[in-house]
Amino acid sequence: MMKHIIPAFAAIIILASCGKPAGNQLTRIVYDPHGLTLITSSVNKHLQTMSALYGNKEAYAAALAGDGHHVAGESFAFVTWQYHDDPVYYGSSINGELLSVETIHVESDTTYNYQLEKGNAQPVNGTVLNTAQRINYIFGYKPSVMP
Amino acid sequence: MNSLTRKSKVKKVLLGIIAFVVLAVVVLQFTTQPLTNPPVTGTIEAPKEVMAILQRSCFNCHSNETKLAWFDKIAPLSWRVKADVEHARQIMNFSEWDKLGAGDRVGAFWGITNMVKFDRMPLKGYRLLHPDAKLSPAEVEIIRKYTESITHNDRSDSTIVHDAQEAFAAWRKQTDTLKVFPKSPNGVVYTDEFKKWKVISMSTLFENSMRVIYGNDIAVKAVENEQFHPWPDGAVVVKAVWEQAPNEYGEVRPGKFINAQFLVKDGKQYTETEGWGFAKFSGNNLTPYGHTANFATTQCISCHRQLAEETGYLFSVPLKVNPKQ
Repeated sequence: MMKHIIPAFAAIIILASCGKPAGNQLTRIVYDPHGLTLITSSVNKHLQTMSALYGNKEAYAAALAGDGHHVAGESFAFVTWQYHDDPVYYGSSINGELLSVETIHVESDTTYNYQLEKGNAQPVNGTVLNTAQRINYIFGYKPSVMP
Repeated sequence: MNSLTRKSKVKKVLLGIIAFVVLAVVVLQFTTQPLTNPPVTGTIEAPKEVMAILQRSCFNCHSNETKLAWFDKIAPLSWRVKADVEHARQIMNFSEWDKLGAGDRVGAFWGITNMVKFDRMPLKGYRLLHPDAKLSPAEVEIIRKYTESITHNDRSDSTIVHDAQEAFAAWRKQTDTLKVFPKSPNGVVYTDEFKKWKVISMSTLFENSMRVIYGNDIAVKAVENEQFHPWPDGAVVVKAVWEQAPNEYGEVRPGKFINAQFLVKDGKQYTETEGWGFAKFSGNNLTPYGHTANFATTQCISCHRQLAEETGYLFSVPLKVNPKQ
């Protein structure tokens, strides 16, 4: 019996080690915005977080206009990471673990569908915002100046 | 008897070889151009304790006051010493500090801090023959503190915010787009395609700039597969840099656009800079940096080579994180 069990265990271990990386294996991840492009970014030094606001063309146009007017079809994603000291360059910091992903889909000029896809929305000035406040906060971002 | 003759022949041959080597070394000394010290145009000024470290550990290569040890002057070692010192002076020269602007001086000290903090300078090869050059942890701390003491933003928060608002208003109104993209002296051409690429990371530097680092598909795949040695040809990484404009939420957001830094991987074209074509396009006109095609061999690659070897000479490569989090 033992002579069958030992090779069986060995086979399981070998198969396991050839498969996908173990759950805790550290990897370098590039966030996939699912076709959206970056509108702008922000850094919160108190929370040590960095955020990126992504959007589709319609979302970008609304952020650029900045007049509070929104139209159906706008799609936003607000993504936040914890940041750390850069391990290879003292004086620099770099984003690390993904903390939260929030999305807003504009269904009509008055209907905005907010979803928390991952994690928890970070507080603003120490206050956790309600959904309407959160949408206003995200809609308040202007695109980064890019010649 | 025979064995004695053989021994004496071997001795003669050996003596002949030694005599030839000695003669060759002597001749070499006369055919070698010695290292010279060009005039000092403006020496760096820093507190006494900082100067003491620089003079002991850095000046021999990075100044026009090089004091060579006797063995440094003997060819063929002297050839290597001469080439290294001349290269080191091109990268950074404490005797021509007057040629640097205020910002570049601070930037140089961040470079110095990183080089000594991560024990990359003085070079290990140099320290073999000059062991006294190594900095102690206390001396590294003196350099770090000095660097932080000279790092301050001359522009007030209100000026930065005001400039950010003006820059945004002007940019939003701008209807004309660049018809011809600027080109760096080394051939790297600016493209605005990067604005559609994925963001590979975000960073801040010295509390006064914030950056977004974009990568094309080849670069993104290289990051995910950790294909860094070497990075695949065709990978392009663009770092867009802005001032940090504070807001009412206690955050900083991108203010005035500073520059876009390109790194284009082409192992055949950029052989002097580990296969990377460096370019920097600054301001609203995207003015290319550098006067000659090889500016990056003394201006850029030195830090990348010493500090970012693990990630194929690129900074700001995404950190390793737990994917389950």
